[in-house]
Amino acid sequence: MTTEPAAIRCRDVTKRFVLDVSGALWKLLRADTRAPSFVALDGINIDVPAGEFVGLLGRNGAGKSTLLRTIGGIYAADRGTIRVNGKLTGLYELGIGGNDHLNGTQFARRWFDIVGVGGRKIGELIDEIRDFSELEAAFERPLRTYSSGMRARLYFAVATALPAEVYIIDEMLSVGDQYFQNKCWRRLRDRLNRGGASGVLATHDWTAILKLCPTCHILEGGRIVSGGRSPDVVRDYLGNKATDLADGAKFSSALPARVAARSLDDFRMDIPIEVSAPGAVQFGASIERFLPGYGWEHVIHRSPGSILDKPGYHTIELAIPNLPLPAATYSLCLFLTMLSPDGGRLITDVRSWTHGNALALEVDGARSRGAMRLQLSIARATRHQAVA
Amino acid sequence: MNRFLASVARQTGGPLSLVLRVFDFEKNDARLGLNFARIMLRDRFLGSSLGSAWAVLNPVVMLLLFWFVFSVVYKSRLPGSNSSLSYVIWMFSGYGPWLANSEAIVNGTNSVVSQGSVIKNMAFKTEILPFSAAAVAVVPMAVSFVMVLILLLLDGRGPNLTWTILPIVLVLQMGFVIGIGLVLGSSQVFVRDIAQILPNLLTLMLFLSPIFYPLEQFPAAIRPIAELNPFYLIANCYREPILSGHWPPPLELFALVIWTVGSMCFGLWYFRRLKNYFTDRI
Repeated sequence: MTTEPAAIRCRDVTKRFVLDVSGALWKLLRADTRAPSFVALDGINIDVPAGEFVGLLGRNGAGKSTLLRTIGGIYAADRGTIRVNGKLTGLYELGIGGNDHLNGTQFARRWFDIVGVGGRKIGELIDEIRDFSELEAAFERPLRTYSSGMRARLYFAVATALPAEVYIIDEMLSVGDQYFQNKCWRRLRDRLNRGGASGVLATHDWTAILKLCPTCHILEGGRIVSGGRSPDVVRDYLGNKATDLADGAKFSSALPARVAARSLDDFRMDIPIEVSAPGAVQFGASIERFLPGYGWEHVIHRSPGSILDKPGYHTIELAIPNLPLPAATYSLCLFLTMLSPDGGRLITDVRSWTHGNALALEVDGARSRGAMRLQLSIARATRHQAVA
Repeated sequence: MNRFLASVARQTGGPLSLVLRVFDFEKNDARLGLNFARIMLRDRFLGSSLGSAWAVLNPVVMLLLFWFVFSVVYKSRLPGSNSSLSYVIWMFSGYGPWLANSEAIVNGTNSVVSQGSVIKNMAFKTEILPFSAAAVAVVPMAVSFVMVLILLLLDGRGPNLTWTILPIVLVLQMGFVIGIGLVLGSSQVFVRDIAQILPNLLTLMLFLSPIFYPLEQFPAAIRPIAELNPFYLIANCYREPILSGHWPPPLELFALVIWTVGSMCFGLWYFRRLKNYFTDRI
């Protein structure tokens, strides 16, 4: 992964919009840099690794769309460099204007005229678009008769008909009805997981970021104010603090950051803990995995159960016989809770991706497309004589 | 020198590529320019029931109107001729190029703003838009030349060798009006008043240029200036071969080359200075 060049690399990208004042034309022609302007992007640095989507969160006017259009080459940056590695498709804003008298076929043809696709392929592509957009008879009617949802369907179908290597997506996945949204997600997942696509997704919808992007950035007033692993960033964005941990049972600092395991072997690990207060201590664990385009999936989960009630140093033994996981890297999440005097449950310590401190469980062994491997044995059934 | 140019042309992939590269274009831009010309032509007439037929009908109606006014009402004659047909041929062969000039300039002025939604959603060299706008404007000129050809044949005249220069005149004419389109089209984004005053300016220019009347009717004092008028030069470089089978006067052709190169270079410089700011206003 690290040897591949980044799909997108932005360094110190700055974009100013010249304000609409009298005489602006002459100032621009004289290259007068003092023309009154508004700084929309201010020293943006972003790297999008090949094969990954990076999220952009931010309010209206934070500069998300400006940044996407600048990366896409529609806006010229005033300063800084942008490198895009691969064919880029931008889904910028809904309902690309143009002529409303065009019908679906003509709109698609025009799109391909401009992006420079020609020849026999066009016919197949248009059939595919008619199919995907599910506009049926409306496909041959002018765009002015379309609802905004129908426009969105046509636009998405046309813009993603040709697979690209780098996608720039502006709020695209939160339009249309639920059914069509799912369809868009499916197409995007295919491009991501099978086609190895990369891209940037800008949205208000933090759930989409969690589903698609391992890392994301928050844009505010044209600057990146924070960035990092999406779960952490989203939590900060929503104004949630990391769970306040109560006193009591704690994991030992000797707990490793990575744990190795082998597929189908018995998995065993010792978890040292330190209990400083009396009370029933409960322990829970889960193994979770991030699948791009789907989000975080629970693979194995065990609800907290009481294990001990005495203060002191203890060791919990976690064992999973015949570890039913195909080779991959998972998040091993551990939780310690204690009962409070009023009967509630207090979280006293956590190792989890939601807190950014989960243990990496590196499973080696057979690779498989499944999320887990079931211990299924199939024996040949006795052959019965056919009844005449 | 020739050998040097030939080797450059080979390295850059043929003479067309070379010309494109001098102006910082690629072959792909030429293809996109043609596609945009098609898009503009279709957009103009889309939704009307006669569709693209208007591209032909409009100039025909216009030419018939001028024929009626000048030869039926005013009974205009060329000096030394008493047939109104020769006047009509003379007028059409000058007015056709003017139609192309004015359409190319008007379309070029609107080309950037009218393609705003494409500019905002797709990355391409916006300076090809005034080129495409000018290509569309060749249609009315072609229509009027077809009418001129028919009238010439009716008059017992026909094509001659000097017509081979016409494609070169066309290239020079287009280069000149594209340069103007580049300047006005990019300015129009920031100063929207241009499209408002442009029709009046063009009408003024039409009547100031010896297109409906011969150059000889100009006062002798200002005639040398009128002879340098690029719109007159364009009309005359078409008229000389079409009407009398003469090659265009070399000095006039040379003056036109100067106008064209100057207009194109200034236009591209001007447009490229502004184009990064288009998206601020569209």
